[in-house]
Amino acid sequence: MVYITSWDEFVDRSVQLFRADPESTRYVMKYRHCDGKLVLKVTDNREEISNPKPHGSKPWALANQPTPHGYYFISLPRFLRRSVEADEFGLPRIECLKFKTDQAQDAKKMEKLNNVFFTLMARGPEVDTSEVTGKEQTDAQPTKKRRGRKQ
Amino acid sequence: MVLLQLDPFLNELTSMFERSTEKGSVWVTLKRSSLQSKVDKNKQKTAGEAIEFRCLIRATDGKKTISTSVGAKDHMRFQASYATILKAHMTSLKKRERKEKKKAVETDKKEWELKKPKKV
Repeated sequence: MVYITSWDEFVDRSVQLFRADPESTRYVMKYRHCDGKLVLKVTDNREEISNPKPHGSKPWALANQPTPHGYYFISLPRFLRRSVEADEFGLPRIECLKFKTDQAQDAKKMEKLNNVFFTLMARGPEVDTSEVTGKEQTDAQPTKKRRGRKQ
Repeated sequence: MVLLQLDPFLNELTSMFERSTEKGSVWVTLKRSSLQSKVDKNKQKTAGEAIEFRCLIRATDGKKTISTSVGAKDHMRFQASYATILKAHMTSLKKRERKEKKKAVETDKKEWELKKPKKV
């Protein structure tokens, strides 16, 4: 399983994945307190393509390799290649996106992604999510600095 | 699987987080669903009716599974309380360590300053 390391890439591609197939895409959060780990996963259940090791045979082992674009190229045996959809770069689409972290700051970012997915799923995939993501920033109030003497 | 109302779900989710502090994990899944069977959906489709979708939320700690669903009207309220619960329980994640980084930079500088005169 390939983990995406860039948060922005994870968000963009998750939303893209959901919009491509709203009814079969799910967003899973796993939190493990004792290890302090948080894993996010977005998949539309076509995992056989992102994890092409059905029989544990060796040719599959060379699969997921990072490319200069930051996209992950999967080399599949020729007889399976036609079943893989290509993305806009002509590379095979991965239908399972994962992000892993142990940082508290990423949990804050996740809150925004949660809101995006709540909005998309409850209201519909066409809804513009920019209001959801933009709101958080205006909420933060500047802290008052008290310098010098009180008058 | 038990389909709960919003508040009982949030309460149960809280206790799931509390029970899994020493060992175990908690999973929360969000999915868009009409909460109907495929047969019903197809019937509605052929009848030309619009299918109402909601956001189905499932949570499990590996032993017990609970679920609830939110629609367009109540998802704002739910996501706010959900965020509060997460914030209160995700306390084992690492905080950014700014002070240490600063210190490291300072010590680097000092080393560099110490080395420089020797070279000259």
